[in-house]
Amino acid sequence: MQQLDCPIIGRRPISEFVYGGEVRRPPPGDAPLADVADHAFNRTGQPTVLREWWFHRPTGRWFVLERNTLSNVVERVVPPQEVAYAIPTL
Amino acid sequence: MTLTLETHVDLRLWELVGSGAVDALRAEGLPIPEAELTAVEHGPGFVACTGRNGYLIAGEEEWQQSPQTPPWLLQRSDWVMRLSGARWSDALTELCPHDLGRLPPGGWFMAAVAGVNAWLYRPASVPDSLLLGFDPSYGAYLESMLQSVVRDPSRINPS
Repeated sequence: MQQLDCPIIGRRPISEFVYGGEVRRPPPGDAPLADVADHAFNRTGQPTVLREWWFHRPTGRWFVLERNTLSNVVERVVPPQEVAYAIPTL
Repeated sequence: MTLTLETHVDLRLWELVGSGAVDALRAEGLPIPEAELTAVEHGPGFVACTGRNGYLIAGEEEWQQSPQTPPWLLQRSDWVMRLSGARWSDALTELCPHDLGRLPPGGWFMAAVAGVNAWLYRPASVPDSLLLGFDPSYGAYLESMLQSVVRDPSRINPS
């Protein structure tokens, strides 16, 4: 069983999580359509340490984790303040 | 080995959310858990800390929020069951990927049971039992899953 080791709630089976995708800076409101399309459809597929949204269903919590997509090791839980650029309500 | 499943535990559930939640608990004379994702026993129920400013309160009484308390007070309608018996944790290995036998008396845990999001509380005063609460729309399904384990002890792995 694949597990995700979260420093806050501990090691949990991946089946308890919903993947929310990469944390990305949204384009400005007046951005060209090509930039909006790039933001919506294009992703970097190369192995890297990626900032990602993860939702843990039983606790109802969203996390931003930095995960090495090659080794699948969660390297860090990112405080919400660090990703304020992607959270309009902050 | 006897396992029993009480399919409808009569508890009133309230969710208290907001920056004044601790003050509201204190004003009601309710115990306050020390850390997130922990719970303290309170009568037949408990008070659990589910987040930074979020609490789940289970008890027998209705609770009316006083106008002075600022946080949100929401009534919950979770379906609550009680699994009792010395080997309740072995039984749940059929349905839950976690080793719930490591849950100490008084322990609180939120996990998926048979794929359903649930909160689990092991009362300190009755450690051979576990309270399970979950969305009531999954009640019939989870009841049938738990009953199938309770009725057939051969499904429980020897520990």
